[in-house]
Parts: sequence; C-alpha cells; structure tokens
Amino acid sequence: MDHCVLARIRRIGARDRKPVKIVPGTLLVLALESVAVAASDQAALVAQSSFLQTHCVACHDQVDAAAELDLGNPPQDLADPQEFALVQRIYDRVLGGEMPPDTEAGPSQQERAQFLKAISDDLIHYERANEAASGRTVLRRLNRVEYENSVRALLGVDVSLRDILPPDTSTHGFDTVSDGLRLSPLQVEKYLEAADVALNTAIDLTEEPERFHSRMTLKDEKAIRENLDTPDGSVKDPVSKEQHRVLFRELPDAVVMFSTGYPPGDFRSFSAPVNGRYRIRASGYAYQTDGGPATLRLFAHRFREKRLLGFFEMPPEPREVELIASLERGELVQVVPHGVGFDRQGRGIWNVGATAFEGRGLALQWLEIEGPLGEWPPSSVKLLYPDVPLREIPKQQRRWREQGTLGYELAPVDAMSDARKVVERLAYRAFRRPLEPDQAAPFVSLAIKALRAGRTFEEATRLAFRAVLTSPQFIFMEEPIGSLNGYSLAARLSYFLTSGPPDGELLELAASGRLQDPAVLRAQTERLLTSPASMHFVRNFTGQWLDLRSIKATSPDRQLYPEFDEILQLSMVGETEAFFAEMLAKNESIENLMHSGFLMLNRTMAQHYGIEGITSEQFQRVALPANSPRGGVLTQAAVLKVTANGTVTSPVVRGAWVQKRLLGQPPQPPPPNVGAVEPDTRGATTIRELLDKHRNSQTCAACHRLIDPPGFALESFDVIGAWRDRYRSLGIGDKPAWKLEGRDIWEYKLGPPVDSSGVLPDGRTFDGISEFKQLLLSNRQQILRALTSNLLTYATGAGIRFTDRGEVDRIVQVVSTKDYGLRTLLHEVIQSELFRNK
Amino acid sequence: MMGQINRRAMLRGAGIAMALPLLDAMSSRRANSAEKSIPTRFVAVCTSLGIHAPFLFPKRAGPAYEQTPYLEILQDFQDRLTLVSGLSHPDQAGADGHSSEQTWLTSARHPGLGGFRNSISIDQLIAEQLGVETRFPTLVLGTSHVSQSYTRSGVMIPPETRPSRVFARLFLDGRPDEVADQMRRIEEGRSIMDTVGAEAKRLERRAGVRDREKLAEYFQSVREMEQRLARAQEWMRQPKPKVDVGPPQDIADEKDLIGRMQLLLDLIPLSLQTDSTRVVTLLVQGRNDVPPIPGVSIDHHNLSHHGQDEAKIEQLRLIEEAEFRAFGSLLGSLRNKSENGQPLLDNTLVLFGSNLGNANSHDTRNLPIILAGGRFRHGQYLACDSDHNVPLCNLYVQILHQMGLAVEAFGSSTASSVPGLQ
Repeated sequence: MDHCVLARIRRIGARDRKPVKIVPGTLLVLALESVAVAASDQAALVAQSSFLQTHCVACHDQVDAAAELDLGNPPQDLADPQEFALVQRIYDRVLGGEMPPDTEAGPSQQERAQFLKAISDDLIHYERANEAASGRTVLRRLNRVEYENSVRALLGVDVSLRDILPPDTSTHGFDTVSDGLRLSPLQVEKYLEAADVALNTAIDLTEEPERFHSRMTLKDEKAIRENLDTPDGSVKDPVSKEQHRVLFRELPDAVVMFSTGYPPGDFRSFSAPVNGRYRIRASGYAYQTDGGPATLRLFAHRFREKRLLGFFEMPPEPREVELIASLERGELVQVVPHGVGFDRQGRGIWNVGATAFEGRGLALQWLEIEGPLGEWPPSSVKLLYPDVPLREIPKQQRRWREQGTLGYELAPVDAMSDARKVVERLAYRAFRRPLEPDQAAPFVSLAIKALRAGRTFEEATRLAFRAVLTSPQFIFMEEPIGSLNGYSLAARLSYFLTSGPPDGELLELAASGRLQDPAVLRAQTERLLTSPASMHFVRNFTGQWLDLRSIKATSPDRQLYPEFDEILQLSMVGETEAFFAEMLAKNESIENLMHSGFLMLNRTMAQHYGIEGITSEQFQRVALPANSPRGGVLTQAAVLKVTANGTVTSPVVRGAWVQKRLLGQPPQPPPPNVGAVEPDTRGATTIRELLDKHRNSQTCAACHRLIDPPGFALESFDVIGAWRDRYRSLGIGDKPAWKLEGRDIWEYKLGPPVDSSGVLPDGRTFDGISEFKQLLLSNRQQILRALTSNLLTYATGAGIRFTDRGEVDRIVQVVSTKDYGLRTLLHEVIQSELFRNK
Repeated sequence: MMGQINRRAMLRGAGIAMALPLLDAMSSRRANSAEKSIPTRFVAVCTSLGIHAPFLFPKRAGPAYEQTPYLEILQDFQDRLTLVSGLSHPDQAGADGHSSEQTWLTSARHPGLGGFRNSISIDQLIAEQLGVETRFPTLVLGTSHVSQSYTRSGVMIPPETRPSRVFARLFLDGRPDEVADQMRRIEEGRSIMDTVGAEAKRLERRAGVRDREKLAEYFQSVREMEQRLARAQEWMRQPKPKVDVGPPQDIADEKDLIGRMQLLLDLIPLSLQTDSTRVVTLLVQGRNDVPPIPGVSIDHHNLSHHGQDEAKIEQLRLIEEAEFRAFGSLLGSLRNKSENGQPLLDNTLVLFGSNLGNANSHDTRNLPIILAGGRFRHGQYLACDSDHNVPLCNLYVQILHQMGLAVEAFGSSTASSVPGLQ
C-alpha cells in the first residue's frame, strides 16, 4: 500500500523519454553534457538495470505499473527536475528499507549498498558539475522585508515599505530562497515607487512642525463629561425613550472606565500634526478587580479602523507606562480598557448602572503625548547630505509642496561636486562593499545631467538616489563562486540574523579580511544574536517555519469561541516567538520543541492556559506546572490556531503540519478526486468518526496512518489552542458548567467527548498529548535534522540538495554530541561549508 | 445600466462632464475604427469563498433546467449565459485551503507547496495580444490587496482597490502642471531604467551561469518597464476618453464587501466601451468580518465553513444572493450598452465563479462556473462529470480561441473545448 507515495511523483504516460537537452553556448550545458557523456546510457538508474530487473520490475513494469511507476523504462534525464526528484525518491525508499519489499527473493545487504552507492555517486556527480558553473546558490534579490530594513538603515528613516512591493513567493518554505524571488516589470515599477516614498520621508525639508506635549485627562473630554454629567436614567429621546446610562465613575485622581463601547476614550485635543514618532505615556490602575490586573489598550485611529499600538496590564496600584509609536498625520490616540464591565455575577454596567456597579474597571489617571520626537529637519537629511549646508527659507518666501510648506533648502557651495560626493557616499553604503573605480559614475552622471538641465540640487540628487535604490547592486546579494569573500559573508550573516544589511563593524571586518576567521565569525554571530535586531530573525524564521505568519488567516467563530480577541491572537504569536528567542538566548536543547519544562507566558496566555500568578503583559519564563499538558511548540496556541480553520480542527491538517514542519517529511498531497472531510458542527458526529471512513479505505489508509496520529494527539486542543475534553457544538449538547466574564454561556453547547488516543505507524500507542510528546522525543535526531535543513535553507537562500545531505548530517552529529542546543546549532550552521560557500 | 433612469441618476452625481455626448458616440477614435472590427473583450470575476452549490446548480442539465435560488437572480440573462459544473483544475492541494485562489486563472499545480511557482494567468496572456491597442493593457481590480492576475514570471499583479482612483486613471486628465510633472517623472523613470539596466549588463559579465539568468530577468524587467513608461508618455499626449458620469465615491467601510464589489463592477462597462482596456479581472475576496447585509450577523469566512448549520447556510445565502445581484447588474449594463447596434455583452466574454467548489471543506473540485456573452451559444446548464472533472483549462483554451488567440493548450488543458459548449 505504500506504493501510492511514489505514484504521485510521476505517472506513466505523462512522461515522454526526452534526450538530454543541449542548448549550446552556456557553461551550464557544457557541464551537463559532460555528465551526460560520462554516464551516457548508464545514467543513474539505467546503469542499475540488473538490480531493477531482478527486484523491481516484477511490480513496476509497463503492464502492472505498481504505483504507476515503470522501472523497465527508468528515469535517466537528471537535468529534468522531475526525473531527478524521482531518482532521489527511489534512492530514499531503498535506503529506508521500504522498497523492495521484504521477501526471500529480495536483495542482499551488499546488493542494496552497491545500488545505493551507484545512484548516490551519480546524483552527487551531477549536482557538483552543476555547481562548478554557478555555485550551490543562485544570485538572489532582497525580499520585501529585507528591502524595507535595508532602506531604513540606509536612509535612517522609520518608514513602512513592504506593503508597496508585491508579495514574495516562498520556495522550500522560505521567502529568502532565490527561486521564488523573481523579477518582473511590476517589481521594478514598485521599486521606483517605494524608493520615492522612502526618499519623501528622508528628505523632509518642510517647516518644523509644532511640537505637542501635554498631559490630558478623561474628565476634560467633552463626550465623557457629558456622559458623567447627565443623570442616570434620564430620557433624552422622547421617541425611543432610551434611558441614559452613566458608564464612567469620577474619582479624585482618575476616571474609571467600565465599558469598551461608546463614548470611546478618545483624547480629542491631540491629533498628530505630522507623520512621526511620538512618546505616549499613561498612568492608571485596576479598579474593583479583586487584586487582579485590568488591561489598558492604546489605539491610533482616524475615525475609521483602529490600530492597536500596545497594551499593558495595570495592577491595583497606580502604574505609569510608556511607548513610542509612529503616528500618521491626523491620527488620534484612544484608550480602551479590556476585561472590564462585568461584576462577579456576570452582570454588565448596563444592567446595574454606574453608581451601584461593583464590577471590574480601569481607572485612568492621565495620558501624556509628546512629539513628534527628534531633531528638525530629520536626522536623515544629515545622513544623506552630511556636508551640505541647509538654509532656512525666509517665512514670506516659503512655497507649498505635496508634503507641506517648505521651510528649508539645501544650499551646496558647489552643486556639481557636492552632488558627486553625496551620490557616491550613498552608493557605497547601499552596495555593502567598496565601490570599484567609476562604479558610482552612472549614478553621479544622472544627477549631473539633471543639474545641467536646470533641476534643483535636491531634485537632481534625489533622482540619483532613486536609481541607487533600484540598482542591481542594491537589490541583489552578489556572491562569488566558491568560498564567500568578506563582504558577501558579512551580508549573508547579517541578513540571516537580522534581516538587514551589515553594519559598520561587519564591513570593517570584511575589509580587513578577518571575518572569514572562524573565531571572528563566531564572535560576530554572538554579537548579532545578542542584539535586539536578532528579533527579526526570530520573527521571520518562526513566521515561516512554524507558519505563524498565517495567524490572521482565519477568525474563530464568534459563537463557538466568544473568548477570542485580538490581544489573545497577538499574544499567541508573542508566546511562540518568545519561546524560540528564549531557547536561542539560553542555548536550550531542541528537545524543548517537542516538550519543555518551561513556558514563556504573559498574563493573557497564562489565563488562556489556566495558569495562575502571571500579571504582566511582558512574556516571562515560568516552570511548567505539574499536570499541565503544555510544554513544547506543538501545544502552543499559535501553532494550534494556524492548523485549524476557525470553526473546527482536523487531525489531518495538524498531522501534516507536524510531518512537514517538525519532522521534515512533507506528506504527499492527496490523489486527485479525493475530497476533504466535510466539517460538521451540529454536534452529532465527531471529526474522528468522519475520518474513520477515510482511513478505512485501503487507498487512503497507507498515508493517513502516517499523517494522522499527531493530529489525533492534538485533538485535545480547540481552534484557539485551549484545552478541551468535549467538542463545542452549535447544535445539540449540554450547557457548559463554566462561565465567561462571570456569566453563563449561551453561545455554544458541549458536544461529544474528545478522543486523543492513537497508534503510531510502528505500533506504539498513546492515550493523549502527554504520552505522544514522550514518544516524539525518540525522533529528536530527525527533528534536529529538519531544523538544520530549514535554517540552512533560510540562511543561504537555496534548498537542501542531495549533495548537501552529508554536511547536514555532519552538523546534526556535532550538535547531538554537544548539547542539542539551539545556539550551538546556529553556530554550526554558520561555520558550515554550506554557509561559507556560495 | 445606461437606461433612462440610471443615466439620470449618474448625471445628478456627475458635476464635471454633464455636457458631454452620450456613451455611444463617446469615443471618436473607437467610433471610426469600430467599422473595421469591434474588439472582443474578456472579463473574469471570482468570489473567493465559494458559492454554495445546492443553491446554484439545478438537478436537470441542458436547456430546460429548473430555476435555483441563485439562477433565478440571473433569469433575465438565461439566453446569454451558460452554467457549467464538473470543471476544476487538477492537483490543487496546496499550502492551505485557500491556496487555489492563486491559481483560478492560471491552473498551476499545488499552489504554495514546495517549489511552487505560479504561471501566467489567462487574462495576462490575452493582454499580451490585445493590450497593446489600449491605454491600459489590463485592468486588475480587487476588493482587497490580492488579485488573480499573474505575470509570465508568476508575480501577482496588485489590484486597484479604490473605484475613485480607477476612475481617475481611466477618465480624468490632470491639470496642465500635474501633467507636466507627471511627464517629468516618467522621463526620470526612463533615465533610471537606462542606468540600472546598463549596470545589470555590466554585472552579468562576471556572474556565473545561473546568476546570469537572474540578472537577465532583471534586465528584461527593466527594459519592459522602460517601454511601458515610453508608452505611458505616448498616451499622456492623448486626452483621455470622456464619460457622462462622475467619479464614484469610495466606500470607507471595509466590511461592505458587496458595496465595494458593486462600485468596481460599475467601472467595467465604462472601461470597455471607451476601449480604455479590453481585459478586466476582479477578485471579490471574502472577509473575516460581518458584511452590512440585513440578516447577517456572522463573518463571511466563518459562514463559508458552515458545518451544515442551517442558520449559517441561510446567512451565507443572503451574502451570495447579494453577490449574484451585483453580477447581474454587470450583465445588465453590458447588455444595455451598445456599439454599432450590438450589445456590448455580445463582444464581451464574461467568466464568473469561484476557486472553491465547496468552501466548507475547502474542496477545489466541481467549481461553480458561469460563462456569459461573447458569442457562445448560451442558454443551457452544462453538467460535466462530477467524479472525473473536466479541466477548467479546456474551457480556457476555448475562451482563448474565441478571443482570437491561436494557442494549442493552456495550463493543464487536455483538450481545446468543453464538450457541449459552442
């Protein structure tokens, strides 16, 4: 039954025997040709015809074609990626002992070994020959996150550019892989646009904006004042006869907010005068919360959709909090409490009225805003034009431009020579390596021509800057064939660990040729991993490896999951990122991915997991409580959410996730004409019963007995990653015994019980998640290997080839003899041949 | 749509272009060339969260099919459309349940998995042939930041989402100083393209073989961009066509999916009749929030995963009926506009449907597909095998032929037509 795995690689009839393609005139083809000549008729499997005849063709021939594979007519054209993959898969099946089947007439150990060696030699020979012409990796461009970080570093501005560029395609699981990073006229058009946006922000010569700095209170807000001053129960509208409700309580030092609705906690005396960074401080405390915290959320908005700037857990004693936010011109700041408005009986303030209300509230003392922060004109002007004097334009001569009224202009002493200097300077920094003679000349000449044509100094230099930001030297990460030189190594290291360009220290080490020294490389790795910029690595790597970037892909059903909200969603991703960052910082063993003795929690996640005693919005390390099913990434809510569809969970989807992401064995997609299981939330059937039909069919069972078990173990967790003993149902079922915000739950019922037991393909059984995680520990080598491959793919921008397996195995070996530590693994990856060579 | 009442309604809101001639005589350039031949156009509209099949497909196939809730809405156009079932793209198991959204117009296999690379979408292929004639080779519209139009190198073309902006690009000439500024910027863009293109050529000399291919791709992109800018300059010297309706007012409420879909749909007949473009795609991407439709209280994505819950299916029906009404208004407007005495619809091939056959289970087989206009022999429900689907690309090849493109195959096609469709 295992045969069906091979089936989908290629089907008979879909393949026409093709001769080795010869496209004259390129080095690559010369290399291919030499392989073809050396192997000619005997390439790969063909040379093994006696092995194939004896052991394979009985089933895999043209007539029977088990798995629709005809080995009487074996694949031989390694230049065809599909043929190559097929040969590699046959190798893996024989290596794993799955094929040929275990019968008396099967091959001897020696025959097997010879067969494997011959194929392996051929594949490696082919890949090596290919590599000689281009190296293992292919020239890659920056992806849009890297582009944004690079432009930010280069221009010294805090500007969002990634959404201007078309989304990058990810290949081999990551958007750092060259194959997916294509170029198109559209891409180029968007580069021009993004460069424009960035330069508009960087070269801001408008008048100095008025700075805002004020401490405000809710007492002075008109809408809230009105709500407080109107007597409770009074009727304003004679038609609706709606009674007024006071929703706040005025204290000597604060206004208590009991509601998240209208009137909102807007501070109307502030509206951001310009785009820029602002310091926002607030002070408040939890009110009537029985000692627990109340959440303070800060939003920015322009009377449309709000965006969350941050949130804080406020204790019963006053606490001052602060954040720095980028606000757009015209945005207001709004305070919205969270987890307030209900008393112990689950009654809301609407039922009780503000005077008698004894439920939870947030007492807000004041809000302070200061900004825009920073010097004026912005420091980016100085960064781009370090030696060009700035002239303040006299008030009466000021002109209005798109961005505002111009207050300054660049006043070069010698426009031509200054233009040359500033353009060369930016080119040097943008290209991440010293300029070759005249390399900046084409860019300089753009500026010079524009000056001659009568454009202003600013216009002329901007034109050249825009060209630099669109140039291939900036967009591409150039790497020479063979071992990387200092500059290429600096770039690869920096984009790996910070998703951004190399800084001054790395460039200096590159210049002096010392970066290639393993000890120096190690020290630089340490430096970058310790810097705050390593958060980019944590975010971008886990975002793709564990699929956290899909966290918003589905919203949980509001009937089934009324407790879900934005803060929980944010905290889910925060937890997994914090967990990975902690493993990296403390060099924790990768065994922690399967099961860990610690958790990284903030208050939201602790509450979600039913763990007491965490009161802060910051993630902190806590020991895994006894009897908690958590520990490891599988039981983290973010992972459990991205593997569910918002309404129901599917063991197949979660099982496939574990196979692919953790174990590095992506299951084959289902054969054509097989539908997915139709979700049913009416409470009468469970997913397991539905799946059993599937699994009982012979054709499906072969793969599903591999795929589904991890998913069964994870059935104890619902679509938002909370523990469940019974499925939630919108149809039949019992009323839940627990409460939400102190009130009874009417939204959903409790349906059939969850069965999280299962059997692994090797026959070992588990009764639930905890036992399953213990069984998973025996896969630590495999998980380490998969993670190593993922890190190498992400870091080098190319997938793991057949030839690379040896180096991957070596790294796995070294790390497992040391301590299995994640930081150890990072160092081994960076010191490896694959990382240090193109 | 251009009937008496609506025309008046539009004029009320117009303001600027009131004194202009009627649409029929609108584009003099077109009017002259129309005698030679009326161009054929292609429009594709997709709703990404599926269409609830039991409310769409009749039980009886052929011309005498019985009405279903959704078809009833399109009853007026029964003789001008064909409903097809049993079509799909093969091998659409992808990165997640909605990956097939990327491949509705391309058919690339296993979207998002492993070494997936998308291929050119049918609209862009058509645009390569027909697009050179018009100011805009294609109009790519969307209700979110995603479209289904992909370039030859498999890059998604970001859609225009704001109707007012599309309208301005199509019909509004800027002030003279704005035009001059625009011209200067295009000129600058061209000089940047020249410079960076030459740099790529220089780098190519020292690069390895496969690196050289990448640089060549960059160079090619830069050169094409340069040509586009040159064309844009040409077009800027010609005044834009004038229409007797005013710019639409964008809908600020993002949740109002149907309202925003309607405004974008309204632009399609205008853009076609003025021959501003001949190829339009619109992706109506279902959202994770509650659309402001009376009776709907649950978000759209969730409703599509109804889990057979009757109440949810009822709400889903309200949303989908609204989508069908919006689509019906497009057909009506295309039918009512005429060029040389022929309804615009006769020269416009409209494809409407979804990339999901059953959104509840993310099933990509048995897609709902409606084909309207474009000189097909319509008026029937064509039921293909629901167990062994016919490749949707067979229909695409047939469409391409109808559009005058001499292609043998497209994507995963296995034949050049769908049996029964003429």
